[in-house]
Amino acid sequence: MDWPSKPPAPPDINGYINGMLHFTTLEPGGGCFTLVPCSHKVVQSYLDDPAMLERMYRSEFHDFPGLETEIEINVNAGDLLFFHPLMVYNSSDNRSTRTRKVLFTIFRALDEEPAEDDPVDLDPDRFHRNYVAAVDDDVKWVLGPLPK
Amino acid sequence: MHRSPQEHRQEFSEQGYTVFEDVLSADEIAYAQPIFDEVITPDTKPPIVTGTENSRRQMNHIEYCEPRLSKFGHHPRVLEAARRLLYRPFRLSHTPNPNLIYQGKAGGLPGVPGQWGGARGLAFQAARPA
Repeated sequence: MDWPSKPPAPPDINGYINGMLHFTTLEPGGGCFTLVPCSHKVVQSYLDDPAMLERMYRSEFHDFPGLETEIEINVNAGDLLFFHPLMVYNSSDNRSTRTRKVLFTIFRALDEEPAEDDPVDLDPDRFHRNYVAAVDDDVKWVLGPLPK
Repeated sequence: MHRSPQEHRQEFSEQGYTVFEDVLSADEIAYAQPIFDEVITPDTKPPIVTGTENSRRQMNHIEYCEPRLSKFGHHPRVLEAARRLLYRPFRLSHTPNPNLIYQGKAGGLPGVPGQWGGARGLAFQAARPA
């Protein structure tokens, strides 16, 4: 899985959370989300190390110092998994007869509520026009202040 | 959502992830499942087909935005879960997009030596600074 588009660079990546809303129940070997617990702390600790950072950009995590053993996250349909943007993760092979179906959602935390007179720039590479049009008025706030 | 916000925050901080259970109802799941099959099929071509060799992963991509699915990304219980975890103002960063994994190889199998733990397929989301 990759960031859909235009991922932020460290240290600005902190404040983001990734959500995976599951529409199928996932059992071991069913295309589950897999991750290395606590790996976000390990990755964070190497962000100022150019050699290690380059290794991380290349996704070279085999025998990576400090990483624990990877695990599968088995969840039920209807469950929502949030994970840190610096996690080392993947997905397992899908040996089941069912397709894994999730909706991938990214939220960004703010220090304060955005000012209404400072409308958000809805980058078309990140916000599909059909989606923006479909967001009901009572939850438009989740996009940010929109141009009048 | 059966656990306290504090439990979720602590788990997220320490482990890097947390799961909110039963966010969607059975009816909502039944409504959405066939829409995934309409939007993306095993034959869907790049740019969304990526991943490791022989993978049959169908990645999320804005081109495959489907408002009927994407609206679940701001479902009231999804927003409530985000609020409980972030405990401060937040906004969506991207259009919520579908992500499928069909039968076949994806990232290997955790716990099986030589199957999963290699470099290939592991992801690190941050971008290189401009």
